[in-house]
Amino acid sequence: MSLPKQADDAITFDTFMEGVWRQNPVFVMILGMCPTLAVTVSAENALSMGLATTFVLVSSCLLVSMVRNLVPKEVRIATYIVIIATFVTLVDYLIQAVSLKLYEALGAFIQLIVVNCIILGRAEAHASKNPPLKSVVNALGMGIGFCIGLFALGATREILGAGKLFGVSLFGEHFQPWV
Amino acid sequence: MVLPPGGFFVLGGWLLLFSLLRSRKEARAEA
Repeated sequence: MSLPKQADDAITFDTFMEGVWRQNPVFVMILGMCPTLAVTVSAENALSMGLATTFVLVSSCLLVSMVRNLVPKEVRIATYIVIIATFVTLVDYLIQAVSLKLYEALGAFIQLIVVNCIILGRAEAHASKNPPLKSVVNALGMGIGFCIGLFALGATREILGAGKLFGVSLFGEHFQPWV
Repeated sequence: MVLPPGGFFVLGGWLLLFSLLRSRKEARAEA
């Protein structure tokens, strides 16, 4: 059984901006709070986590949208998780290969992207009902919105906590770190 | 793993800021 096709397949500016601003996953929908609060101790960690999630989100939404008419409704969630897990494994090995320090800083939260509500929510609510290109545009907006949210938190915490941004000291050597 | 401190307060601060901006925008629209 295939999922019903949505009548409106047009890609508008709102398709992209929905996730960036109006339905921002961090500030409006309050989704993905576990990685949001845990890894945003610095701007670098926050941005890395945001980019990793964006990659998984866009790739999995593309694939979910492409197979939406082939997957039986009863096993769709299991299929989504397998698709998402595939891309999470890619990101996991990629970060491990590029920067071991970053990999250790992000910890288990890279693997936990598999169960991120933003990704499962997008796959179920949007990608499974829309054509691939529209799903990718929407997922990209949502990913950028997530990056903005994480960066806002990470940058604020790094500036307040260590007086730095991306490791660069902002207030000189007399700044007393809060943490 | 122990969660680093400050996250809840910073997130709360951002949410308060956006809430304030939204209420000001709505007040301006009503006026």
